[in-house]
Amino acid sequence: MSNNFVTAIKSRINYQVFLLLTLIVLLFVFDHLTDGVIMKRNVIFRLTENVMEVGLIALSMTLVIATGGIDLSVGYAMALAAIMMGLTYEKTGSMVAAVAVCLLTGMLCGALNGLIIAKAGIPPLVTTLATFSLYTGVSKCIAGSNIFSAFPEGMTILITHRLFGIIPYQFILFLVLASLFAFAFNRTRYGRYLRGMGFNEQTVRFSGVNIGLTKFNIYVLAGLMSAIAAIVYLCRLPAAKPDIGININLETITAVVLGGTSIVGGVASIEGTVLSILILGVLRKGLSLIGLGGDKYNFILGIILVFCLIGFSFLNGQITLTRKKVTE
Amino acid sequence: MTNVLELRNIVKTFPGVKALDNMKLELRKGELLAICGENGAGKSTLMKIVTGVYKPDSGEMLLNGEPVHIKHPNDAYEKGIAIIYQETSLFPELTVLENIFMGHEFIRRKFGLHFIDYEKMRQTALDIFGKLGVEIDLDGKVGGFGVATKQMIEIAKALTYDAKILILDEPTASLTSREVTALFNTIKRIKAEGVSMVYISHRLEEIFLIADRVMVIRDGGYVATAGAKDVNSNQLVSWMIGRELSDLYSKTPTKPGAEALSVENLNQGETLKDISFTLRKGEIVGLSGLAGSGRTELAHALCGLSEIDSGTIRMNDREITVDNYHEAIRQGMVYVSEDRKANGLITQMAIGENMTLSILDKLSGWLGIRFKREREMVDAYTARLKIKAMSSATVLNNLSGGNQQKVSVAKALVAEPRILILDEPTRGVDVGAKSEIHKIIDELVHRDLAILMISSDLPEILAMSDRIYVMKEGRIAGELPKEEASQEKILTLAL
Amino acid sequence: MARKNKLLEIVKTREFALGVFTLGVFAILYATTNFSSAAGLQSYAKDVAYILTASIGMTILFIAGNTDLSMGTTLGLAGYFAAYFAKTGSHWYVFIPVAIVVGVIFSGINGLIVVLFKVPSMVASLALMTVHMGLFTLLPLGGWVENVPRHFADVGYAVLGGVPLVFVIAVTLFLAALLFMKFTRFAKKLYAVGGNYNSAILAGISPDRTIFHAYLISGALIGVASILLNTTKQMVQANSSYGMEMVFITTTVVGGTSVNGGKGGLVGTMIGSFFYALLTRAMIFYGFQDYYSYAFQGVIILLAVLATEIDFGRVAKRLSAALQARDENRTHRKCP
Repeated sequence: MSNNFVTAIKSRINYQVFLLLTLIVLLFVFDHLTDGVIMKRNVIFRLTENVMEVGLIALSMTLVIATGGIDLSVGYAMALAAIMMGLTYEKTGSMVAAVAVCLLTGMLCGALNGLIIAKAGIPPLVTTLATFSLYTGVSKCIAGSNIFSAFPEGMTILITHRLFGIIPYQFILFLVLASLFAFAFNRTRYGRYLRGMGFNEQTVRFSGVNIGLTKFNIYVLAGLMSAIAAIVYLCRLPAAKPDIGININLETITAVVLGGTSIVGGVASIEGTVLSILILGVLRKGLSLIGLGGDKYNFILGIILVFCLIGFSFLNGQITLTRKKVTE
Repeated sequence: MTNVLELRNIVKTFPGVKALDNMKLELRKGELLAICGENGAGKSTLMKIVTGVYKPDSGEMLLNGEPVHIKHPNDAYEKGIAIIYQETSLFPELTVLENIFMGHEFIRRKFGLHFIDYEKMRQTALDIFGKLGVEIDLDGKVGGFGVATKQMIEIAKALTYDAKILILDEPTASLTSREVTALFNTIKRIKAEGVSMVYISHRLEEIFLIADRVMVIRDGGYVATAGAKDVNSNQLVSWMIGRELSDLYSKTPTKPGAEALSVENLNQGETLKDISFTLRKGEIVGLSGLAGSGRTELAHALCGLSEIDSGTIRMNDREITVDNYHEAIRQGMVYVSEDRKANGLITQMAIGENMTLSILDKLSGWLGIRFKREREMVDAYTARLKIKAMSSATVLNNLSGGNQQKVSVAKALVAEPRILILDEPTRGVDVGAKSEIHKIIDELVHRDLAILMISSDLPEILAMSDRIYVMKEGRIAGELPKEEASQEKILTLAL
Repeated sequence: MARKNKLLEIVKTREFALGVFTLGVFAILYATTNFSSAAGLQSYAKDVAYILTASIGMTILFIAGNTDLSMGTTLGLAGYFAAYFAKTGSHWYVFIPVAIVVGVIFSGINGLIVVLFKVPSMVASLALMTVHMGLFTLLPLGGWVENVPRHFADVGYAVLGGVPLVFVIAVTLFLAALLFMKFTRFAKKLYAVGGNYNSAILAGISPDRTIFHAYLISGALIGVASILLNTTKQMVQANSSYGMEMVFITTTVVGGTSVNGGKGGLVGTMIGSFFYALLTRAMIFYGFQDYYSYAFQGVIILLAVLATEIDFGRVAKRLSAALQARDENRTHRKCP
């Protein structure tokens, strides 16, 4: 009997090595295509600049998907949190208050999701489809056609200045939070519970775990990360408007799936998500440097997602072919 | 006279277990043949072969004298063989009419297109239900009907396939006596139409009422067939049991101590009625009864996995309320599930991860899970329970059923319970692992644990228990101390 | 007696309540704004036309247990291609089939991914949505067709006895779809597969084939809907219907079709379509900005799904049982 877990670990580590190699290859490819711009010391870290918001949300999205759920409202919760932050700052002039309101908004958005999913038992797909409409609507109602940009000068300081002049602060934030997430997921019991829920929720329930509370918490966490992402975004572009999170869904989910997390749950990897975010960052920046920006990037994302889904479906199919209900 | 259905020399094995050995079956035209046997005797495996869910390893099947191979459940339908299970495979959101004709609706051609012919279907349905003697609203959603009616719908569905052989698997399990009478009337009518029936049931009184002949199987083998008028229940019971109690089990005598658990007047809806019993330290209490009598439901209720309507639970003379399973574990009461695949274990995760799943909060500190301590604990229990695996990181999928069950037991033991509730601890386990598990249970009871063991394996429960409670239809039908207990007595109480 | 019971049963359904509510809103609009003008009613009818057609496709997929988040972009693509062909000289008997074929192809690809590779339909369609958007930029004319030719717009502006042609087409399609859902074996299979995948297999149905066919049908309907929508416009843009699937999901869900599959029907979706189009109109007439519609949409979907999925009877029972137990506890304590 083959030791499947070791194989699984090996294949996971192998896959992460594969991701790392892909990252390195991409770096070299784009370096070549841009005539040596990429690999310069002061450029290489900046590659991750724009993708850190996605990265932050992808961290909590990994947890959500690990349990077999999904959250399509993250981008819009982020926009709403940003708008609330702008509004609060405008009305009170206090950065502290603005940040607090921002975080609170994010958590409330998450709490609404969590409540409906955990308490009412409505599938996460439909719930977050509904809430994303709601959050967009609320954002637009509050903002109207305004753009909240009355932020203090010092806000962008976090972006214009970098550690040692080369490493962006948001990247450090991302790495710090990623480490926390990785720690929580790999080394605490919650990680086990989440993975277990993705595989077999009943068993986890029969092990004395409060499933409802756990689910509620991960959605609140997703909301919180959306709020943090909003702050990072505003530090970069101090203009809060309702459509700043429009693309986030796709990028986050692609990052998570590319990182080796199974879309139906159970198998998950924070490290994989981190590596994928880096890859996506290089991809995005690289493509824009050679003139293929915006839409082309999305297109490629979509293709990557489709291939990953199909590919992992084959891989996972050899181990367990549990066909879950297709509308989650 | 050829039999309408005949099976010869059927053998079916699963990994580690021989489910059917040289099984035979002869069903005469127009008769109702009852099949009796304990839980696990092989009745459902046999029926799954007849209806095309399983393929036999060897042996042959003849339909009206002609050999047949049934490849798929739908194939069985096409050949006129239909089975009515306890859990219906109906679609609750669709109407009765839609359900009974699902997949084989009548078609009418009009303007070159195919249209469902509702009129013809309706007429046929009314005919069939008329034959069954049942009045029903064809346009009602199936989900709105009760179990008894759903059964009638399933029977009607079978008849729309023009079934000539109808298999009824424990049809009266969830019916009231009035509904049973109605069912029997229906059965008589079907017989009059020339349909042959196989009736699987534990309820001997019913069998004598309705069957022409009775067939008994035991441990996957054929025992005997006799006319229903030519036997009595004692004869049937002894046929069902008839084997030696081997000394495979190693329960050594203990002196039970103080009362560990006492339950009074526990009620839960229709499933548990006025349950009262006690459990003492250092004793094994067996809980016997037929499938569906409420044993697992009782275990769930005790452990907070389901809600009770009323009743008192006392542990060590103190009344406790167990709202959820976490609380049960905290109080020292742990449950080993009967269905490890569904809710006992996570087969895609590793041995170690499964084993500690219920007590991770105790194994965790500020820096997360104490992995070293966890590994030590897992290794200790793996050794103690003799779990055969490459390492604690092995995924459960790769273990044999017996070893998986040991992990399930280990999962309970790591919580250091004072009261252990085992639900079918050796189900789906090979002989070797079975006796090892029994040794472990014996060891535990010597350490003053109070053990409640639910089992459908009569020799097991007789060998291991100090006392046996028998459940029947949600109640405790009787209590038997070890010296007085016997297979006959248990079955008599249970039936 | 039986007829009276049947009437009573109809009255008790959710569709009936929704229908009454819609009529109520309609009446209010009619009375208080110039909605009642011929132009107003015709605009409304044109809205209903494409919403209803596409929603039929969404409903069919829902019943079979799936979702399609790429419906908006597919619709855009189909409309674009039709307009493009029209611009290069084709007439309705060419560009309408073109739209349908485009819809079928893209929806079919979606179906293949779901059925062959067992990818959950939500994620698959999410990914395809962006692939579609990527395709937009590769399209000739940049995905835009300005100043659509006369013969294209004629379809959209045609009026039959005061009723817009597109509305007539949509209603005809709807009636055909109703017949289809009632009288074909395929329709029953949809419900079976969505209701219980395994029971469907036992009944001899091939779930994969059924689901794939559902995607094909939905694709065709998307194609038609794209015609009904885009011929009413001066300019056709491939990416203008991005996000439109939310509308179709709203109408489906509000109409009572379950997100879990196996339950629901076209009648509810039809009323849902009328309702949604009415709501949009109402908001325009009463001066609400269009982003209110997002908020409404979200709330409506939530309420609709809660209404479908939660068994309020059981919730009420448990609530009253809990309250009763609490009261009993109180009186129990009083007795020493």
